[in-house]
Amino acid sequence: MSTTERTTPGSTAETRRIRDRLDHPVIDSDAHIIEYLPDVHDRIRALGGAKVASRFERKYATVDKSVQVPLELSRRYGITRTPWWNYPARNAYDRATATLPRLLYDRLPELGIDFAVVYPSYFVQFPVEEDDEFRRLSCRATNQHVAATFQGLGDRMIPVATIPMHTPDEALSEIEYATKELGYRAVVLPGWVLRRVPGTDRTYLDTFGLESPLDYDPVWRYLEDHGLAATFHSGGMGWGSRALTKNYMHNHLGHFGAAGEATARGLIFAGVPVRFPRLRFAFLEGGAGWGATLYTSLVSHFAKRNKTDIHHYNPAHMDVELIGKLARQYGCASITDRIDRLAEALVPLSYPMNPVPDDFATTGFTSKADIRKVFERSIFLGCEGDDPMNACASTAFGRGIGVQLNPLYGSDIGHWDVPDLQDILHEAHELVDHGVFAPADFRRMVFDAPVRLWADNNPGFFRGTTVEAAVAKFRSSSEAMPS
Amino acid sequence: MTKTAKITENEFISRASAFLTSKLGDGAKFDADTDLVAAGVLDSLAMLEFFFFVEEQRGEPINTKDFSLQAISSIRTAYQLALASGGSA
Repeated sequence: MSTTERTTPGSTAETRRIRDRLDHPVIDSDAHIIEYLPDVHDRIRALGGAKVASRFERKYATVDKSVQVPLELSRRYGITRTPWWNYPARNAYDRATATLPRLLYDRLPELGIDFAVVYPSYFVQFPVEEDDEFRRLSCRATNQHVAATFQGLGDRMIPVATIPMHTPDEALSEIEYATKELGYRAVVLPGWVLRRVPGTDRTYLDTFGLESPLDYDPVWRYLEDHGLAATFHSGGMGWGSRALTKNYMHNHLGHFGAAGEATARGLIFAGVPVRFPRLRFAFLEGGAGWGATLYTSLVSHFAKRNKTDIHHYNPAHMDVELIGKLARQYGCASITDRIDRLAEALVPLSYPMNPVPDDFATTGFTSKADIRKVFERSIFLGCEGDDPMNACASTAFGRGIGVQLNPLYGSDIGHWDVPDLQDILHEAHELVDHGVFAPADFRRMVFDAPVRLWADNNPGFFRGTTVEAAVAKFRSSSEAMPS
Repeated sequence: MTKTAKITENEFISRASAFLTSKLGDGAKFDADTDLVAAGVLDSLAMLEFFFFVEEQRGEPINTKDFSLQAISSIRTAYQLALASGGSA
C-alpha cells in the first residue's frame, strides 16, 4: 500500500497479526520526534539573548543551502554534505505524528509499540557545536522544549535529554539540570567531539576514552551512580571517509555504525566498561554488524598481542643467524647480493623495545572471557527493524562468534528510514519471517535487551509505565542478568 | 532570486561591509581589500553566508563550476562576482 493511500490511522492487519503472536511487550528504544524549532529558538533567546539566538538563526538559514556551494569553498572550509529531505513529507499524518508527541503517544498502540524512549532529531548537531555558549544553551533549550512537549505522556513514552560533552563539567551540569529540574531519566551523549590542536587548524577526534585530553571518569561515575544509561546517537558524517561535499547518501552509508564503533572502541580501550561495571552503553542506529566485527577482532587481536603472547613477535627472540642461512639458501640474487645488509631488512617494524608496550593494559582485560563479559553485560547495539545485519545478534550467529550480542530495537520513527509508521512492526518482524531471527531473538531485541539497558542499573525505570508488570516479571527471571 | 539593478562598487562595498559586520560584530577588523580567506576573518558559517550574500547581490546563481575561492577572497574582488553575467551592473 502506498503512503498516499494510508492517511487514516489504525493498526494494519500485519501489525495485529504479529501482536497476536507475541507474548511480550515491544519496547522501542530509539523513536524520534522532530523538535518544533520556533520554540527551541525562543528558548535559546530567553536563555542567552539575541546574540546566541542569532547563531541559531544563521545555522538554520544556511544548512539546506550547502549543496549549492562551490567545491573549492566547501573543501577550504570543511563544509561537507549533511542530511537533506530528512523527514516524511507526502505522508503528512506521519510528519505531524513526529512533530507532535501527544499524537505519537496516541498512535503508539496502533503501531504495535507498547513503550518508547524518544530522541529528538536536530539534537545531534547541538552538542558538537564549537561555540561554548551556543552549544550549552542550545542543548538546554532543546531539553526544556522536549520536556514541555512530553508532559503527561510518561506511561507510554519518555524523552531523552541532550548532553554536551566538550568538558566533563558541562556534561555534569546539564545531566544534573535535565534529571533534577526537568525530570529526565534518560540521556544521550555525543559520541565524539572534534577538537582543535591549539595554534593550528588541525582537528582530531576525541571519543572521551583513550588519549582524551580530559578525564571523563566523573561523567561515567555520575551516570553509574544515578542509574542512567550512557546512550550515544552520533553520526560519522563530516570526518574520515564520509566528508564529501555534495552527496548525502555517500556520506550516510554506514556512518552510525562507524561513529558507534569509534566511541565504543575508545571507551573499551580506556577500560571504561570494566571500571564501571554497572553502567550500560547503547550505540544507536548503527546495527549489530559493527559490534560483531569489533568483538571478534578484539578477541583475535588480544589473543595474539596480549602482554604475554606479544613476545612471539619480539625481535630479541629472533634467530638472525638462521634467517641469514635460509636467505643464502633460498634467496634470489636480489637478496643474496645484499645479504650483508640483512639487518636493514629485519629491523623495520621489528625494532627492539624495552620496556615492551602493552596495548591492552588500559582495557582492563586479562582474558578473552573479559571481553565477552563486557559485550554481553554492558554494550547494547541499536538495531533498526529493516537491517538484515541484525542477524549478527542472533543466538545462532552468536554461537559461531562466541558472544551473545545485545540487539536494541530502534524504530527510527520520524525519519526518512521509515516511509510509513504503520509498517514498523511488520518490518522489524520480517527478521523472523525471513529466518534471520528466531522468535527468541526478536524478543531479545524488542524486550529483553531494552529492559536490561534501561533497568539493570535503574530498577525503577519502567515504574508507572504500561510495561511495568512485564518488566518486573522478566527481571525476576534468571535470564534477566548475565553473570 | 531576481536580477538586481546595477550596483556600483562603492555601494557593494558598503553593503558587504555592513553585512559582514552584522555577522562578525563591531570588533571585526577588515576593509574592502582584506584577504578574508588568508586572514581567517570568516569561519565556515560566515563564509557560507558571505557567498550567499554575494549571490543575492548578483541576482542570479553563481556558476559553481568555474568558481575560484579567489573570487570572494576580499570584498573588492567579490564585487566582480556580484556583477551578474547578464550585465546587470
